This record gives sequence, structure tokens and C-alpha cells, in this order.
Amino acid sequence: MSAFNLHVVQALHGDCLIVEHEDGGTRRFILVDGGPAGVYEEHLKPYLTQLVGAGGPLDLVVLSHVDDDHVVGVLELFADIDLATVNGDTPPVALGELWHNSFRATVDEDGGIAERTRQILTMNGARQVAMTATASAFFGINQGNQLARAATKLGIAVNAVTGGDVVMPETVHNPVGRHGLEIHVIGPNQANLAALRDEWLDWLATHEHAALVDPTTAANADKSVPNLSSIMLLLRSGGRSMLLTGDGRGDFIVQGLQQAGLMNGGTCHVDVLKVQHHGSNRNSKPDFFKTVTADTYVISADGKHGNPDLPTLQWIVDAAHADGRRITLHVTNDPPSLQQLRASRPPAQHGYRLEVLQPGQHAFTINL
Amino acid sequence: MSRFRFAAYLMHETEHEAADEIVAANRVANAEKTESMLFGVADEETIKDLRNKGVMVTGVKTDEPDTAAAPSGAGTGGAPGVLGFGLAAGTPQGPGAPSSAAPAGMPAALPQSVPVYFEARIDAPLTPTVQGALASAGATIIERLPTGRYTLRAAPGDLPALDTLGLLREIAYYGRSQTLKVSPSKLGGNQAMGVTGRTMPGQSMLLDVLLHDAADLDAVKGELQARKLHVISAEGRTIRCVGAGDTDLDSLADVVEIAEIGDVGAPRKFDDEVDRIVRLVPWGTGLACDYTGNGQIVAIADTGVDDTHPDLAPARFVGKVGLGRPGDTSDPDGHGTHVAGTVLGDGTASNGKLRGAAPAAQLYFQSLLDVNGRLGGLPANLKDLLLPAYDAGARVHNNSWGAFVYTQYSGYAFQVDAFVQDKRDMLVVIAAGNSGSCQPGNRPFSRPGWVDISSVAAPGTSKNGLTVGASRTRRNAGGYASQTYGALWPNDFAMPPIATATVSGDPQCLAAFSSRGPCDDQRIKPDIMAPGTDIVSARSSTAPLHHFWGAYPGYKNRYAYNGGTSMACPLVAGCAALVREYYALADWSPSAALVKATLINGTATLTGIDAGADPAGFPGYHQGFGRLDMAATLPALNNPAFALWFRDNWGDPTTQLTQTGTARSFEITVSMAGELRVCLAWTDPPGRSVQNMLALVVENKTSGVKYLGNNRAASVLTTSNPIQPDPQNNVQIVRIPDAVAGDYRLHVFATNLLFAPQDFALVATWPTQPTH
Repeated sequence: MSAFNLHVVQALHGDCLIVEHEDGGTRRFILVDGGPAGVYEEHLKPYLTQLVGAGGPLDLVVLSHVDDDHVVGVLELFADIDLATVNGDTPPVALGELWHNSFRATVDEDGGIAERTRQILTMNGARQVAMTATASAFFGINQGNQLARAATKLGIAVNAVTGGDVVMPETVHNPVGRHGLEIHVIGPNQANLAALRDEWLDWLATHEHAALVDPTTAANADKSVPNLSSIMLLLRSGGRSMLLTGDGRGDFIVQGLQQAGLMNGGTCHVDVLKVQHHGSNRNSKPDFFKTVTADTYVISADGKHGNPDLPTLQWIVDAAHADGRRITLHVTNDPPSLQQLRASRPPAQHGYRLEVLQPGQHAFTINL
Repeated sequence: MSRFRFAAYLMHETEHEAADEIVAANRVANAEKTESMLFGVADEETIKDLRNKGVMVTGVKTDEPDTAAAPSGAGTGGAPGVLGFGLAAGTPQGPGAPSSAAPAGMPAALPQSVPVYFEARIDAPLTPTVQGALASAGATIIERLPTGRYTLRAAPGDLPALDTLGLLREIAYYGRSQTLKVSPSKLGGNQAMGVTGRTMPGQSMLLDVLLHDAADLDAVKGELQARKLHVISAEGRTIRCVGAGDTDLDSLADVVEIAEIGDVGAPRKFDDEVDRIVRLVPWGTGLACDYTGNGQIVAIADTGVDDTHPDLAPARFVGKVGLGRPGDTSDPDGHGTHVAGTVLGDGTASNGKLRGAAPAAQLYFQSLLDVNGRLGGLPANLKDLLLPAYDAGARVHNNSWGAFVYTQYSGYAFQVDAFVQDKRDMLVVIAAGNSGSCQPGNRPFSRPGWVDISSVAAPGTSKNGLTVGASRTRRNAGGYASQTYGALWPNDFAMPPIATATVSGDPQCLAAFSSRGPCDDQRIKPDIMAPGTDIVSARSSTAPLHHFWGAYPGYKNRYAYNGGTSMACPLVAGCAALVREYYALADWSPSAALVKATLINGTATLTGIDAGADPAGFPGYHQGFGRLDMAATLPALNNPAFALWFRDNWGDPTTQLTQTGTARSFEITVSMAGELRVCLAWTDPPGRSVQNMLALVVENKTSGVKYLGNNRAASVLTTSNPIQPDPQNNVQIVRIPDAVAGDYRLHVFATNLLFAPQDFALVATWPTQPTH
């Protein structure tokens, strides 16, 4: 059986995944997200160069969405390739193509949301009021096409799969074939993007005036708008499958699977599910984990923002236990919620296995 | 026969005599002769006669009635000649218009004795006579507006007396449409362009409110608060406040004391491309520069600065202050360190290879980066930014940031002008912005595929600042150099020729993203260009490489490429320090206007297709007055190739211009044939267009040939009659490429002074060695 592996890189509170598959005896690689600042130097670079071989080919980079805990590592990778190139050194990898939907292209065509958010951040910065979540979201909004420019400069095609358009089910011909790998783009669709725009406008409508006028309120207003614009992929190779969900919302994932014809009798089973949004319970409901099931669940989180949330972990375990499915949870760190899970649902009694990435380890590999 | 409202510039006794003659012959209506000028209305023949006698005459066609033809039934009763204006012509609103008609837009039942505001054309130069006449009729002139009209304060009851003067035309009540700057048909529903909330319903509004009169500050503050607007700051004529999404701007605009309501805009750094060029002097000539900025202090307000960078050693700092993060001036962003390196990095980390423009200058750094990664360190009133820098000894202040507000003269612009008005030797250098785009807004001008006009940001729209746009470097590799504008910014540059142009490579072309003029009063901005693509400069050790345009090889990664008008701006600021050093060596303490005039006098006209794109004219809306060119700006210390002459009367009231119609003349001797260049600049009082209008005339003393400043300017060429002085710009140039050797006179005329006295700076250069 040919290799089909998911390498889950230590990405702290973000995501950083490497998909490995095989085509005619050749190993091929896809990077999905790069994690927040620091992850590239600390984990991704050493792991990637060892896995792919220095200067080896990385066929595709997919940025699920522009939040800083996903995009910064990709930016750092591109900058590192540039640095190596100008210094005449071997670049860490040779990149093929990039899939990336900018905030502007997907949600904020006239730049109005970015402008208003910049105003709020500046006003509160002037009062020494930190709005960490907003600033974090704004990073991706503000960087606009910077990633695309960096890619263009490195000679990497951006969204060639859609002729340069936004990558979404409406614009690609599913499934997309890449070296024997089947890629189904199940999100974001137009409706998801419209919903995200509405979320932003609602947030602005609720908080903007107060945030401009009153610093105390501003701090309270600092709640991130969940990013519903993630590129979500179902990958298949040799009859095995993995579902990579970015920070997508449960109902949107189900909807996307339905529209792509990937549901079977109202459910969808995959070998590996990368649990959406670092296991936050804001993005999912218990039913999601009954509808979409997996043998292996991957959660990339480190306790920041409470992720993964205990309820999410319990929903996963309970859904599997009820069906008598034995599952494995791969978690990149060991935050309190995980300890609470062990206490409330002892693995032995509840039929699941828990794998935690050990400190100092760059990644774990899941063989499908 | 066509008639012209004209101004004649009288430079010699014979010209005065010619003027006296035509006045005596009753050929001039509304004649007013001053110390150095004759104003009035006359037919083409009369003007021709004057010109034949060597008098320089400028004018615009007018449909004002001839004195003799004026209807007698105007009912004004004004005695002809009282003011020298032939007041019987007092039918300012045209024949048949009853003089008692209420000004357009005036609400009914206003109290007769309470002053309100009007806007009107004033059909006369603002001589003391005219100003006095208006004053005694109860009117005060407040401000010259972008339309060329004036704001006046007067009580409705004074209107008949004002009308009698026959000076005012097109009088309108200063109401909603003036305050919001929209045509009356667009009023309602907060439709004004450039005011927040217009495109996104419900959007809160961060507003700058400009008052007619600073005396009303407290009253208006109270009014705003009563209307539930949150006042953030209030000083002088400006109030910054926050309105809710449902704030009714139309009714707010009815508040009599409010002159303008406009957007603040969210300030941002202008670094879409980064990197820096370090040539100390002229592009391509390989000449060394004699000046290093020694003894000069430059202030930089930017993200932060890496004071561990070897190019910015501790001894270079006279001070640094964290305005956004108290006590913290570090630069995790990288923008500020890159800017600082371009101004004055000494190249220690690169063995002297990568130096800034003024490697011996000192630095006062104001860190603006806030906890949210934005520029929250910017105070609500820029005086609070500029004054501490001034007090620290800085006389050049670099601002590689701004806010796009539809080319308007925002509160930031007003504050810059007000500050320089007060501290006349502080040169504020400002990036024009990176809003250049081929995708026009709702008022497209340019042809498809070309960069549109009207994108300059504030405070780059100020009059007394020096606003810097970006041209391209020569690089063909590194950073984004070899990429095309279309590939990197597909949304902005979708079609050839700009889409297919490379980001760098042709130094005669502009950076496509560089913001273009004019301002909303047709004023030329940006003033000057400097390379702003793929600029190499200092990289902050804490800034990630992906914040830049690209890595620069070697030197322990202490440098990086970047680009944007942010990177062009500090090159000009550094060179301004060199200009100040030059004057210091001549034992002169230069005004900001002199430093500005010197830099602009030295520019090279860019010849790239985009630099001279429509609308035609030089100075123009794309490249301003051309690109910085230090080899033609300052003479070398030893064996200079050209002479530099200057006058700078900011400290000398006796030579300043004291009233409309006066002039100051200077004589120079050009020792060698070649290009004679003259540049006039003055610090104009704050206000939404040029308040005091001067005109530069260069006269060949031998031949009598005269040259008028900015006579090829885009702002002049776009008017129907090219024979007029540039009414919009407080910088004017004359360039005579093939000037013969001999004596020349430089005349500076006060063609219209609203606020006297007015000082000015004048620079002239001519070759002293044969050009080769």
C-alpha cells in the first residue's frame, strides 16, 4: 500500500500540517497552514527539510485562511526561501503552487471592514487598550495580498487551479487531481463567505461606536469574529481519506460534504479528521461528531483561548463510544482540558486512545 | 469684444506710466492701482496695448459688465470711484438680478444682527482698500476656499450695505452643502464623499470638525456634546469627535460656527514596498556629496527603532520616546528602523556601503507603534507630535504615514500648516501615500491602464509640508524589482501599460502605487519624487523578514528591501538635513520654505510615460515638481558647477510683503549661459486652499523678456485661459533652459494677500562651469 500520511507539526495555538502521499513510487508533499510566529523556525523548518530533503519539492501550499496562527509560518517560509536565494544558498524547499483566499477577495471587496477595524485598533492603541484578538484577526485582513505577492516573486503560481480566482467549490472542478491524490474542495462556499461578512458587520455594528468612545468597552469588544472562510479539503488516496477543516464551522463542513456528494446515508466517515478551529466549541455542536466520524482525530491547540474546549473533546469521545467505534485522538499539547477529559472519560472505559505530542518533538505522523 | 479681469505687473517706471495712461483714458473698469500692480477689467485691445509696452498682464475672461454699461437701476446708490472700483457697476449678480435678493440657501427669518457665514467671489484684489471697505460694511473675510471663493462673516442686516460695494458675486449662505462639500442635490442620508459611513450604513464616524473661528471652540464643543457626539480633542479651529452611525450630519452641518465636517481616516504606514536607496547624490552621476547632515537633527515619527542596529549607534540619538507604548521604542514591525536607516544610517554594518542620506545627522525618534500594532501613538493634534520634536532641536520631521481621505485637507493637514505657521523653520516631510491605482473611484480621469489622479493622503495634502511621492529605482533584481505591477497588485493594475511595467528598473518612471495629486483644491501634490521601490535599508533585528519586500544578501541580515512612499519620504528628509547643513555653513538659519524651495529648485523632470501622463503640465499631478536630484540642488563645496543664490525673509519684516499689489525685486547676475532656475516658496496660513497668493516673475534685464512662475503647471493649463498666474500653489518655479548670461531681476508680487504680512523664500541657481 502506498504511503498516505498526515504530519501534524507542533503549531502551538495554530495549525501546521503536512500531507504526504505517493505517486508512482515518488513521495509528494503538501503543506496546509504554517502556524503562528515562531513555529516555522522552531518546528516546521527543521521537520520539513528533514522530511522533504533540503531543496526538495513541496507541490502545493494551502493556506486555509488568513488568521495569523495559520498564515505567519507560510510567510516566514516564503521569506526564508527568498533569503536563501539571495544569499546563494539552497532554499529549504522548492515550492510548486499556492492556494490562498485573501480577506479582501472573499469578504471585504471594498476594504471597508479593514478600514473600520484599523480605525478601532488605532484609537484604542492610542489609549493603551490592547485588543489582542482583534489585532490578531486584523493581521490577516491587513496583510491583504502580501502572501500572494511573496509567492509571485518566488515564481509560485497562486490559485492556478481556478485561474487566479478564489478557491471554493463553485470555482474548482471537484475533485482536483494532484499526482494521484484526489482533492475535494468542500468550502468555503459563497454562502459561508456572505455569512462571514455579516459576522464582521454585526461585530462592527455592535462594538464600533463604543470601542471608539470608551476604552473599557473596547476591551470587552475584543472578541474575535470566528473565521468562516477557511478552505476545507477532503483528501483521498488509495481508498483512504482525511478531512482538513481549518477554522471552519461544523454545519458548514457538513453542508460542504453534502454539496460535494460525499455524504453517505446522512453521515460521512473519514480515516482522519483534523478537528476544526483547534477544538473550540464555538464552531461545532455535538451532532457534528455524530454526522462526521473518523478513526483518528487531530487537534492542534495549546490551551490558548481554552482550546481545545472540554465539551468538544467529550462530544468526540461520546459519539464514538455510543457507536462502539474505537478512535484515537492526536493532540499537539496537553492543556488542562485534556486532563479534564482523561478524568471525566477515562480512555480505557471509553474506548479511545490519546496521543499527545511530547515537548521538543516537531511533529507526529499519522499513517492512514 | 472679450473682456478680461486682469492684473498688470509693474516693474519699471515706463510700465507705471503705461498703466496710468490707460486708466486716465477710462479704458479700465474697476481700476485699482497699487504700489506695483494695476487691477481692473478691460477689453482685449487695452491689454494688448499694455503688453506692447512691455507690461506683463495676466487675466481671465469675464462677463462682468462694463462700467459704462452697468444698469443704473441697481439701487445701490454707491458713488462711482469711491473705492476706485467704479461702484456703479454694482450688479454683482448680473444684470436684472435684484440686489435685495437673499443669498442662495439662506434660511428664512434669520436674526438681522447676528453674524452668520457666507461664501462669495470677491471681484477685486484684497487690497487694504477692499478689505477696509468690506470691514466697514460689516464683513470679515475668514478663509479662501478651494473653489477660489471666500468665506465671509456678516450679519444678514449688513447684506444691503455689502451689496452696495459691488465687490461680491455669487453670494451664497454658508450652509450644509458648503460644510459637507457636496452639491445640494446630494444632501440627505449622509451622502458626502469622504465622510465615514457613506459606503457602509451604520458605520460610526471619526470626524474632524473645522470651525470658522477658533473663538467658537467651547460653544461648538458644547453643541457637539449636546448632540451626543463624543469629543476627543479640541484646539484652535479643529475638534476631533466620534459620531454614532445614525448621527445626522446634515443637521450638524447647520451649526453656523462649523465650517467643515470631514473624515479623519485611519492612519497607516506607507510601506507596501520596502527597501532603500542610499546614493547620497545624483542618481547616475557617481558624484560624491560634500554634505553629511552634520549638526542637523531629524525627527522621525514611525513604528519604532532598533537602537542596537550598528548603523544607528546610541550617540546618534538626541532622544527617543515611546508614544504608543510608554517607555518602549523598539521596532518589532521594522518600518521605522528602515525609514531611520534611509534618513541617516551610517552604514557601519555594511562597511559604509549602505548609508542613509545624512549619515552624520542626529535623530529624535518618536515611536508610534501601539499595543495593537497600529499607529496609536499619533496624538489627536499633530502639534503634540511636532512641538516636542522642535523643542528637541529637530528642524526636519519625517512622516512616512498618513490617511486616505479623498485628497481632502483634513484636520491633520490643517494642523501641519498651523504648526509651520507658528514654527516657520520646521520642515515637515510627508509621504504622499500608496493609493495610486488604475482602478478609479467614482470620478475616473485617466485612460484605462494608466494610474488615475487624486489619491494623495493627508497630511500630505497640507500646504506647508513637503509631500513626497515615489519613483522607481534602477534595480532589476532583488526585492520586487523584476516583478510587474500587474502580477503583484492585480486589483489595482489590471491592464497595460502599467500592469506590464516592472516595479523597478526605469528610474524615469513613477512607482505605480505612489499617490497622485491634485488635492481637492487643484493644488499640486505630491511636491517631489524620490526613489521608493526596492529600497535597501536597515532591518530591525526583531522584525520578521516577511514584513519587507525581500531579503538583502549578506551583512548578517541587517538590511532588507522595502518600498512605498514611506521609503521615498526619508530620502528627502535626509537630503533636507543636507540642505540645512549647506545653509548653516553659509551662516544662515533657513526657513522651512527655503529648504523646500531649494530641494524643489534642484529637481529633475521625469520623462517616463507615466510621469508625464495626462493631465499635461509641469509641475503636474503625477510627478509634482519632479524627482529629487541633489547634484543640481546644492553646489559642491569645492569647485562648484553652479551658483546658488537665495533670499529668505522670515526673520526680516522689512522685506516681507505687507499688502496686495506690492512686490519685492532682487537682481542677480548670471555669469554663464545655461539653465537658470528660480523657485519661490512661502509658508501659507492654515486654510483649505492657498490663502495668500504670490506670483514669481523672472525678467531678463537686458532683453526685457519676462517669465511667469508655474506657467506650465497642470493647475494652470487646465483652466480655459492659460494667461494667468498659478492661483493654487505656494511653490512656484521658473526654469529657463537656455538662459543667456547677464543680469536678471526676480520679482515676487503679492497678487492677493488675505493675511499680511507674508514672508517668502527664493532660490536661484545657474551654471558657473560649462555643462558637458
